[in-house]
Amino acid sequence: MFNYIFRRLLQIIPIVLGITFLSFTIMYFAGGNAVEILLENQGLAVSQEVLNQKIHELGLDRPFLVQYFDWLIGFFSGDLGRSYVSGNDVFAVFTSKLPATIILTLISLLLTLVISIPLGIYSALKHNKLADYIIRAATFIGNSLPNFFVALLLIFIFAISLGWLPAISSKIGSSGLSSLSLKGALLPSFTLAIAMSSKYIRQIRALILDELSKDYISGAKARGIPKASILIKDVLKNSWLMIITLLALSAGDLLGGTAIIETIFQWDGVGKLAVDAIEMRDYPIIQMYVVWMAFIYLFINLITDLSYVFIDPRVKLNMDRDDERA
Amino acid sequence: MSVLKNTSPKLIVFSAAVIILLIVAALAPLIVPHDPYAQDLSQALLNPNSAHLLGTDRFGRDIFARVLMGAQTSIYSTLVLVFFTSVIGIFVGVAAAWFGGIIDSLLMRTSDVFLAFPALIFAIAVAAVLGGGIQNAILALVAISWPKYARIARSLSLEQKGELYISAAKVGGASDFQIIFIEILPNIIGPLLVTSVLDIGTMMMELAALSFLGLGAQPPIAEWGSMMSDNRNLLQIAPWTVFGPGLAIFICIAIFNLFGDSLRDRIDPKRRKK
Repeated sequence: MFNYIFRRLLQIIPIVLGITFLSFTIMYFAGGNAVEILLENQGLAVSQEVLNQKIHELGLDRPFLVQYFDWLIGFFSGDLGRSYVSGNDVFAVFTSKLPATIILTLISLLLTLVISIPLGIYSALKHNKLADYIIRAATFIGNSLPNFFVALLLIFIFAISLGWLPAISSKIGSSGLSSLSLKGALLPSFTLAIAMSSKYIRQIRALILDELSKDYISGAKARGIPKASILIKDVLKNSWLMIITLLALSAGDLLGGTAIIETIFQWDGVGKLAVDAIEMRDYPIIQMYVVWMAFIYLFINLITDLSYVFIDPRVKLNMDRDDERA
Repeated sequence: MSVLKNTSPKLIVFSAAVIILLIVAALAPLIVPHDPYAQDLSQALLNPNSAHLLGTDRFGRDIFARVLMGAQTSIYSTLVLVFFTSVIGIFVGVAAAWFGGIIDSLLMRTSDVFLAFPALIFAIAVAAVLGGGIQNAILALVAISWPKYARIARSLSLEQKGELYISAAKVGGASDFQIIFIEILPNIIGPLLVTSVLDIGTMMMELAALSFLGLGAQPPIAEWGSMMSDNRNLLQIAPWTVFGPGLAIFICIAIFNLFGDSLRDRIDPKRRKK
């Protein structure tokens, strides 16, 4: 087993390097344009001469690979540059906003599970009855709605028409974690949960239907074991693996979704930080955001792969087989 | 094989819906009831009425006309996006499978790196560097979306590569080019076509999301995502300015999803296999 974990960790290294390389390359194209913004932000008149001097000072006229390795060494020693706008250390800014995003994603995931596990099971139990059709229609609608539209619909219903919840999540006049409240978290996390639940409910329904059709279930039923007990003891026990897979699969969409949802609800996390940075052309912040979101995504996938080993004994048997990540 | 044989009524209905959508989008400039760009402040923020089916925005522009024009931008941009994404991905995947060895590893490790990014976040960064504009948004999404097709095309081609008819073609003196285009591609295109049609809805959402963030189509161009972003501060006083384009995008995605589902049932890769 340790062999497997070790090999899996080794596979990560080239991908981590690839992520840094690609992120650096994207921002490299911003190049001189970025320096011009930097100077303008400092209130300097931008002549070609000043521009060239600054480009030289920042080392942006060196060969591409030299710049990349220089940046990479800085990256792994914790020096990620400074914001063009505020002049603050980029990594410090990022880590100060990250907890808010993690809180939002965790609440969304929790809501998703609370919504989709009961509805998925119920839909399967009422297979091809009215309730099943209604739930399936709802998941279809949820799948076809862009999350920003869901967000605006929820604001319209719960903030504007009913006045129950705030449309802006953060308290005015404060920032960071202290600006957040559970009440403010409800609409953004529901928005994210609706999109995910629409996918989960379908999958859970299909899985439960599949399990229910198996022989051991008929056997258990024949022996007079109550249906609820079968469901909880056997069916759900076998469903964990799929739920974990679903969580990993939706992590990318969830992380991407936070950028939009945080912006709409003014939730003070890294997604809003990045979108604000785009408006200001604050490239070091955007670069930081892209690299770290990719790392977080990679980490989630790694944890998922490794957790299979602990949950499903069959994976252990197949561990030596070279697994191709789909 | 005749296309119409065994075609489900569902597929016929949804194909028709897609065709209607495409025609409406193509003819939008001719059938709009008002000029979608004409500003008239005396007509600003009108409620929906018989002259303005979805009301007007804060510049007095007719929302229904803008939604119709937006159909052209949103639908055709999405189709262009899906087309380039799948063609590039398929090309890479087939090349990786056919040439194997170092080319295969190089291409697949590259695609691994792209797959390591959350798609929308990567696209946001690329679009941010390129600057706004619908072409740049398309470019950004193509850049992150091709590896999925490369992987599917590669595994499908690998299956074909081992088949007897490929060896026969090789013995018969066919060139690599001929084998790929005449033998392999026609045999793997079905499942890939289904994948790309099923992707239309998602791609449309992502493209609209970029526009919503100001990284896609720029105002005053009528595009659903940017219209919704533009009008979202009017949600309280003029909700139709947001719900109009929102409903349009929902209906469009729903139709393409239904079409994709019924097309998959028709060309099911599992059923096609012996």
